[in-house]
Amino acid sequence: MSDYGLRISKTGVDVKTGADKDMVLTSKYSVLKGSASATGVEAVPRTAVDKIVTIPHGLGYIPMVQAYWNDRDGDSWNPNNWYPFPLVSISGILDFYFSAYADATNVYLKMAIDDYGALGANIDIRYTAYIFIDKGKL
Amino acid sequence: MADYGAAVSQKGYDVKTCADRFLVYSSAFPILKIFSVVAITGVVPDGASADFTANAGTDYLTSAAHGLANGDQLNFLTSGTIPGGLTILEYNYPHGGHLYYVINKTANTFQVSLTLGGSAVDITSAGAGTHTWYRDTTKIISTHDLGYLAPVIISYNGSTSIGVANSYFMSDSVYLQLWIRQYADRTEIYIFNPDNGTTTPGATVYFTIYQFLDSFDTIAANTINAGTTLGLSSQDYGFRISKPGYDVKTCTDEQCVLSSSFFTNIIHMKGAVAGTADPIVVTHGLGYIPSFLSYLKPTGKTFYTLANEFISVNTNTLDSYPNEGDVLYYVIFKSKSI
Repeated sequence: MSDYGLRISKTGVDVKTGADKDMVLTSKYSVLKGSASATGVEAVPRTAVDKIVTIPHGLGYIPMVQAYWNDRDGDSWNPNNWYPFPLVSISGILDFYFSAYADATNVYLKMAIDDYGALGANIDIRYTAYIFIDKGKL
Repeated sequence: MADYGAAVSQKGYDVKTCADRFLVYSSAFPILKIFSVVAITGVVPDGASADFTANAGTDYLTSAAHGLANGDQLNFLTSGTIPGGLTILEYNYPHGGHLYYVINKTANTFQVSLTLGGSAVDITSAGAGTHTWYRDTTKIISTHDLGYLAPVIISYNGSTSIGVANSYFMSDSVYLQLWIRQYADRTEIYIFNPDNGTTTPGATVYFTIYQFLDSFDTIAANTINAGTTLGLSSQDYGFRISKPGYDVKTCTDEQCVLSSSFFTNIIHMKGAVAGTADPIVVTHGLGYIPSFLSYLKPTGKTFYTLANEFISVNTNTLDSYPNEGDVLYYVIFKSKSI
């Protein structure tokens, strides 16, 4: 088939002569397409044990993922703010190891917190994940 | 020119009344355009190391029976002062310093270059203390040649030793210490050994790079509909555009440039802000937690890198706590995290 395509420019840019990057949309380049999103809260112990949240996606291949987290009660981080995965924050007193990954069936959010034996209370971590139909592994 | 515009809503939402974030496409809001999707591999280094001395007269480094090969990548540490002309690679933000390539090696000596097979680094002094070279980090390069800094997303797809069934978003610092430098013409991925013993030296590691076409030229926040109205009268006729070479009537969703069956990350605002205040605060004013991409360009560097530990978002602002003079590059989407 021939590629007739579609091209829409930003305001003020001539759609016939403007650069591709100044287009709102062009069929020459794809965009990330979201399939699903998930949110929740997980109590993560401070014992350096991996806490894994499993989110099914059912795509049959490994998708691209974006994920963010929040310290709901402000135990260690600003409770009003959300932070991107992954995170490695090592203070030597309270360490955080957060990563997001996927296989052909699920998206996983893996969270571990280590307070070096002080055994403080669990930290409630809110999370949100965007799952795209675009492949995370080609 | 007048803005007549067009918009396509997500399934189930009335395109005339729904909130902006339920649009799949709108001529009022750009979407990050994927310039290239690249699969790239690297090799986990073996972590070898040995002491060396530097000769400012010959630009050679001496390390008895070093066992290095031309093209090996090295970084350096010292107990005192690093020889003039060399730098120390920084594993943590701001990820400064350089990785060097071995050139002109003999049994006991070698020179180093900043590029593979390039010219020798000019050693200007012998330094002081004990110097050590390390073959514990490798760098792989993906060239895009856009000519400007552009957003990028990288997945780490595992290795020949841990398998490739899982794909890690951006990196998996828990198992393998990775960091990136994004330049105007290329992406560099740095792979540091060790990795808690889960990935063996010599293992091939795999990455997928989503390089976007868009620059960080400023797009100010723009809102048309801020509500959350569900379009009860919506009819789902839909909208579909295929990638070049695919038949829009028969291709898979993944082969579409755009489809109203799937939500998109339409852009609320984007730009770059130099860090004259701490924190750098970008007001988005959405009233909810949006998804975003963000990067920091360290002072005096020509690359940006990831700095997740320094960047966060709340319902009104994107905040970053960089060093003075660093530049925050950001894209804030309409998507609502929570």
